Amino acid sequence: MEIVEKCISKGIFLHPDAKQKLEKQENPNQLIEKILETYEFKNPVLQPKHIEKYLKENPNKTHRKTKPTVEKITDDKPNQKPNQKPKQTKNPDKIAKPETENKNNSSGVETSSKDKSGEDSSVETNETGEGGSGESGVVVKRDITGRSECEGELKNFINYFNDRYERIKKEIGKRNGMRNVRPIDSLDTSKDSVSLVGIVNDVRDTSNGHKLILLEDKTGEVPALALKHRSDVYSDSEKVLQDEVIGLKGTTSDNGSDLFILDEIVWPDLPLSTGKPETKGDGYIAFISDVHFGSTTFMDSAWSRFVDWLNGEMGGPEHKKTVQKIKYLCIAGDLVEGIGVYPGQKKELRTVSITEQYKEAAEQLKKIPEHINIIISPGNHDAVRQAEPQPALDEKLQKQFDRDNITFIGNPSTIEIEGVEIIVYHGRSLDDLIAELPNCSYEKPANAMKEFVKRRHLSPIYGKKTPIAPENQDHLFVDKPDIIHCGHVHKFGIDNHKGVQLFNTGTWQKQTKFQKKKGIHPDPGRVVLYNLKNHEPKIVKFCN
Amino acid sequence: MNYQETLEQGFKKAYRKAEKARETGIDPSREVEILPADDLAERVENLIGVKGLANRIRELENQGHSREEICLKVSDSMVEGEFPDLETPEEMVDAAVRSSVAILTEGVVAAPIEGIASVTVSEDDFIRISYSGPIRSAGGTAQVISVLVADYVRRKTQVGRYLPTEKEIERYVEEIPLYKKVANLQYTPTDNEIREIISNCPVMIDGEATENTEVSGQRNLRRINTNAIRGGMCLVVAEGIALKARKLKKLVKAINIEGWSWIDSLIKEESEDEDQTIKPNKKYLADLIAGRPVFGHPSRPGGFRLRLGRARNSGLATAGINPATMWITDSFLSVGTQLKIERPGKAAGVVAVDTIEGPTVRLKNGDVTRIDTEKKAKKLKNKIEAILDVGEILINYGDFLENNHPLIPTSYTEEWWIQEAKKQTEHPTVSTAKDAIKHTKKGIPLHPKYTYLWHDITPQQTHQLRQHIKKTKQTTNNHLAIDHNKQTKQTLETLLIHHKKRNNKILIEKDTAIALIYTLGLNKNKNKEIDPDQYEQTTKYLQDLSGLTIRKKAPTRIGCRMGRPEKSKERKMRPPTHLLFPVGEEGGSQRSMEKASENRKIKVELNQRKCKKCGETTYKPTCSCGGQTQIKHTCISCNQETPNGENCPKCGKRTKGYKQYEIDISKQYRESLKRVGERNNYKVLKGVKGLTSKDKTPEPIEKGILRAKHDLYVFKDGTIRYDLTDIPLTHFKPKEISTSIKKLKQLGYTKDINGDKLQNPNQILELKPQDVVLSKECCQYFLKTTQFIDDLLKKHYNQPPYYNINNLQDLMGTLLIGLAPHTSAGVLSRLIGYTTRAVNYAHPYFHAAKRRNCDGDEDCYMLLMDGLLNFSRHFLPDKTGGQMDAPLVLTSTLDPTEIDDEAHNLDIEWNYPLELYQATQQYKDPSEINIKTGENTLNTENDLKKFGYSHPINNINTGPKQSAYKTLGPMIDKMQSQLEIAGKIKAVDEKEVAEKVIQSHFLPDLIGNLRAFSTQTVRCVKCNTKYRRPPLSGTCNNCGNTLTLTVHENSVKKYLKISMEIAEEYQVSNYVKERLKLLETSINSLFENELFQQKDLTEYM
Repeated sequence: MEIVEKCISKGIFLHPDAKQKLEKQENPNQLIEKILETYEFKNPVLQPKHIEKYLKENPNKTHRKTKPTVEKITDDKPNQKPNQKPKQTKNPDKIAKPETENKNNSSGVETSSKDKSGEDSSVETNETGEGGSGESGVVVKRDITGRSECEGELKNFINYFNDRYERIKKEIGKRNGMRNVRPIDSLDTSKDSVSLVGIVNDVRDTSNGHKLILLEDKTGEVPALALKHRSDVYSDSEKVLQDEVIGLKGTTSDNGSDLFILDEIVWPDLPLSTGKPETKGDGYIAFISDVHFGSTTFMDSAWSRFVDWLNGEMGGPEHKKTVQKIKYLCIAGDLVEGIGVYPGQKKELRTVSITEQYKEAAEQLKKIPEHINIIISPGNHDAVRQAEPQPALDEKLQKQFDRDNITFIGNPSTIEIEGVEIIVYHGRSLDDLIAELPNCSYEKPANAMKEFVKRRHLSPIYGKKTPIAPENQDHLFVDKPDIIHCGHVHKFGIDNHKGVQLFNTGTWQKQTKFQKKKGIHPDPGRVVLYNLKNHEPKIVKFCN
Repeated sequence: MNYQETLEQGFKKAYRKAEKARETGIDPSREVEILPADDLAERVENLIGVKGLANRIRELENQGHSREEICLKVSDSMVEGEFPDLETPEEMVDAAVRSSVAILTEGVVAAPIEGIASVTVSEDDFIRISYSGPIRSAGGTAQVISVLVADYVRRKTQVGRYLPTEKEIERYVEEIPLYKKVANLQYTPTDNEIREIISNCPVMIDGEATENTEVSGQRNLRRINTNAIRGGMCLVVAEGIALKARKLKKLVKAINIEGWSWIDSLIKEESEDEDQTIKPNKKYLADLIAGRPVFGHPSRPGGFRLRLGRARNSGLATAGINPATMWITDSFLSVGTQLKIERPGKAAGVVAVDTIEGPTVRLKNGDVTRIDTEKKAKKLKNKIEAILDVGEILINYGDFLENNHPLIPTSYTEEWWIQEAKKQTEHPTVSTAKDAIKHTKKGIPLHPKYTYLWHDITPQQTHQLRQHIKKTKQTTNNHLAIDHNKQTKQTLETLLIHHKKRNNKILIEKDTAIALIYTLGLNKNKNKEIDPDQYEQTTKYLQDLSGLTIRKKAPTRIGCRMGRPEKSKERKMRPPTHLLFPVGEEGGSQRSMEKASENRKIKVELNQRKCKKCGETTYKPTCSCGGQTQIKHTCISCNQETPNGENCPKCGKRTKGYKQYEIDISKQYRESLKRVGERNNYKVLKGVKGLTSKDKTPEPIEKGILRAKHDLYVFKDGTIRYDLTDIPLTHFKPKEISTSIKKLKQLGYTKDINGDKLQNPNQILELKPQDVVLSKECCQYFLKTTQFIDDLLKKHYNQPPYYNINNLQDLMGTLLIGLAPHTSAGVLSRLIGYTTRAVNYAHPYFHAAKRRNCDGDEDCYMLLMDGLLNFSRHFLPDKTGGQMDAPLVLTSTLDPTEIDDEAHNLDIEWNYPLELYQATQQYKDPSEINIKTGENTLNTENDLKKFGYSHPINNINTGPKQSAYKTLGPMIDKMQSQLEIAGKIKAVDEKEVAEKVIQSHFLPDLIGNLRAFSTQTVRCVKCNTKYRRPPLSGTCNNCGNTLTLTVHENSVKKYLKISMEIAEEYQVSNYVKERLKLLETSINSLFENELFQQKDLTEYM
């Protein structure tokens, strides 16, 4: 596509001088895409100054959107002796209190309504969760915990998929040319171009090599054909997943059959980057996942390096400074190894009791400086139902964590910290996406996470590896977060899509037998530090 | 006329009769469609399609080569270009591999064609065999030979070996267990075993995608064409190479092929160790199922004591058990019940052997006694407190030979003792302990009757017992009395010494006491004291105390558990069907003809046939004008007619032989009733919803009417079947099979085994190889079937009846077809009697001709005339494997050289030689011992007769009539019984059983159902349309009716409560308890509305 067309497709005009400027750059096509992704949509004309500004802000960054700095903290790197008064650095009174109490209550909660399109945009906020939010600075905006309505009946399933359909349909409706959507049963033989929005029943190849998409809405089903010689729509059709909600543009076939010939497939992807969050908080959030306490392959030494580091006992003075500013630690599931998760797991357990595993976890988390607010979301190894959305750990287990400032949330949950909206999702559905989409792999989990945003759903595919609890509302809908934080695949990944920061924070577990069988080499001991002020992520490594 | 001629004549007579009936043109074909089979060579050539193959095979057969050798020699001929049909190396390898599988499967199964998708030489220079699902029917051995032969030919043609990449190996490691999950495997090799096999196997074992499930790890590998599971490959690796490793080793040795020594690593685990002992093997406990009791943990004292021998109702993977054992273990075992055993094989069919030792029990009053008879078992059954020993298990030498399992020390028994005694004395008889002692003076070991299980107690315990007897013994006329104490009682119980407990005394009967006193050296040397600490073996210690030679009474215990129950049941399709005629949706869920006829017209797909005479199109084989019709093929797209059923000449598309008709079903049905002169005074006549055969050929409605009248069901191929568990029988008594002497004489049984004239029902007769004894229920079903056939002949074919039989006695002599699932060749058989047990008794060679052993498998029978009249290939489903389980060909004469060679390992000695018993002590390879087996008689005049057996029995019909597993109510009851038995049997740890059942049955079930719930499909209650995901509309998009879930709350919760109760009661491990708790939480979380509960509370506050 031409540069100009790219801009127009996003509703932006390109100033002729800006075009010239662009064309002088090394890779104008790629560059314009990057610029458009971060371009703040205030001025409909893209001017030379915008390009200059971008180039200035992103020197040599034409290849990657975000190239966060990486720091390594391992044993082989000499650092300050840990045994110099370990307690000294733990000084919660000084650092934690003023920050958590002063700002967050006001700024955190207020900004939660920033530029959200209104009342319907998120699932009911969890009123019960708000009580604790004041102190911790963590506002829970969406969480299934204590609100599960699923009774295991057909109507729950029907409601669930209808809710998914309605929410995403609304998003698609905001796209160009998708305002006049027709119900499927109203299709007739008139050859006008028509728009449909539906949920995908099936995608398959026809014997003639075309792609057939069976699309369903509340009124019926239509077979839609992406012809193989229409390369743009055909290649898009290869990305269509079962059970996702998409828009289709096209015409009814002229040979009298009830085929729908496709011109375009419209995904509900976020339209444009809104840029970085407007709010300016302070300090850092640390993101980790998949700790797997209790497993024989849990990496003790990397973990204790991490704990020492948090306590300021590791790393240089720079580190200490940074560490003191960490106010939050977010854990995206699989805190413990769990029991009975897969056949024969018992042999790979160091701690055979799940209660004991959580006790161990509690002891370990106790070593983390008190000024750090911890957020714990469950994963498929944790002691909650496997079906998503999963509720938070139950109260009995929560009580084992002898610490006030832990926020237990469900999986997925949407939380807000100092004006930054974060979806914490363990990432079970990554298995399904990686199996289905050729551009997704375990090697680059952030690529698969982009699909969450493109499809506005955390688990578009139904009936494969990700079990669903049919709740009346779709808690897996992706609204407009600033960050999505996942784990599960034990591979590290960081990326940005339409302004949404995507983190997959790896694991604290060595390669398991199962992973060996699957050929997965995990990335253990990685932490993402997110700067609440400039909204930049930074990676710290605790082992190789 | 000899036996074979009698059968042949009966067969021909029936054939002619059926041909005549078929000529009437009522059936899809005017000819009988079961073809008499020629010999193996012919069958193989027909299957593989290489001209001249049959001759070559016959040549090699005549030269006396074994089957395996023939496979290789044939391969040689192929590679050397002796067959002009084969040109390229690829074609040669392909033909060699397929012929070998065909030869080893006697050319009766479809596996060589349907089970091997392709054999190719890869561009990377190695051989790739691509298997598909039906390779299953070949069985492990033939699967293995396909790989071996491919390697053999590969060397000959100088193709390179397959060198797998690391990733490819890991792909197999991931894929095979995954297949086990979705489709189940008899045996799942460990990861390391898989690695061992794949990295060493010189040809590539590949496969077609057979499942929808895909691997998630090693995807998109260059040399593996699919990411989906390759079922055929999984079968060959797991159930072929891994499971049959011993057999493979034997084969490799026999055909002397290099480069296969790595298979040793697959068998090391169980094979003889340096120190010549065998280790307990717990594999048989791996998938413990609820409701199927364990009778002994691996090799544990109190479990079944191994006795070597073959009774006339055993051999070919059976386990002989005393019927008393069956009764006192709550009747879970019956004749035909499958046992999963520790060794020598994996499973065995239970047979009743009433002459071996039964269980020893402790009664509630403290008495200990052995129960050898059914009568005593029934009397004491409710007084039993503990089962100290479950009795003997009779396993024949041939089963060790077949499994290539080293011989293991067998129990010291009468038959062994007598041979040792005969060396010293002429007439060794022992009826009292005194006799036994007398014989020991000649250096003969103490008689087994008076030998106790000394090896189960320590020399120290022996010493204590001796001291205790010495100190407290009092003798009366009949008893030895000693003071009761717990330790002594326990020791006596371990030794299995009968005793009574009265008033704080332990009483031992005189005869037993004498043996005990002598054994302990308390007769004359009572003051002799030897320090027990010097001894490791108690028997040695005793010998030094008493001077007697004491053998180990029960050195080997065979752990086992119940497998599947025995079967004797008519074959029904699901849903059950009387008639292969479509009734469409209109028939309702019952597929009822009556219901469908409430509509005047229904739309159904039936074959389109054109009348040769008037050109009219009809679905009937004979036109209303009387002309013969034939299938008409038309293009699926343009409807153009093609003469030969090839692709459409105009548009090149496929053609079909059926079309949609709108038929007046009510009229058709009424006319049919009228034609056969019947009223519809039966409960229901069930048709099918639609036909699944290629051309959708229906049966005439009349056949269904008559079947419904006689309450008989039809199978997919048009025949009436009865399924029965296979059990061997080589000799029988007339009274056992309820057939009169007169009848038996008519059937050719004129002399008993001693050559005496048959005159009383207790004489023992040798069973003729194709004669069978079926369950009484089966015979009654077939009696009804003969009446159906006669009705059919009279009323439908307008011909005289064939059977004219009114009672079971007259049914004897009727010819049947025996057929095993997965095969396509039936074997002619003759019914000679019935058994009151739920099995079919037949000659081991007959089972082997069907390609079966007797380890719990079941086969079916049908009446010969039913098959000839009603079977049609036109009814067979049009899908992979559709040709299986259908009698496409029939072997009318059993050739002992053309049966599954497993049966040639059957031992047929009248007495096992002393050499064998001695060899068991040395863990010798069974093939080193010279014992007469079927193999030795092949190609002699006695290849089918004069077989011997080592252990006589009184009656084949003993023990419970059927397994309690079938009569007990819901799973929970079975489970309770299972645990009660576990609590009683000393060799079983009830806690472990409880835990294992939860872990291997209930937990996977709960987890599986929970998962299934959360990813489930829904279906329409009316039209049964399935939806992968519930549609948005909430109703069926096809018919608008209500939808329903396919996995409901109840099926998810089914085993939760019972599991938790058992976990509590039996104090299973915390781990299992926690897992259950976790599942409970998950389940509740899915089925309880938290908000609703909350609202409820606030509302009332």
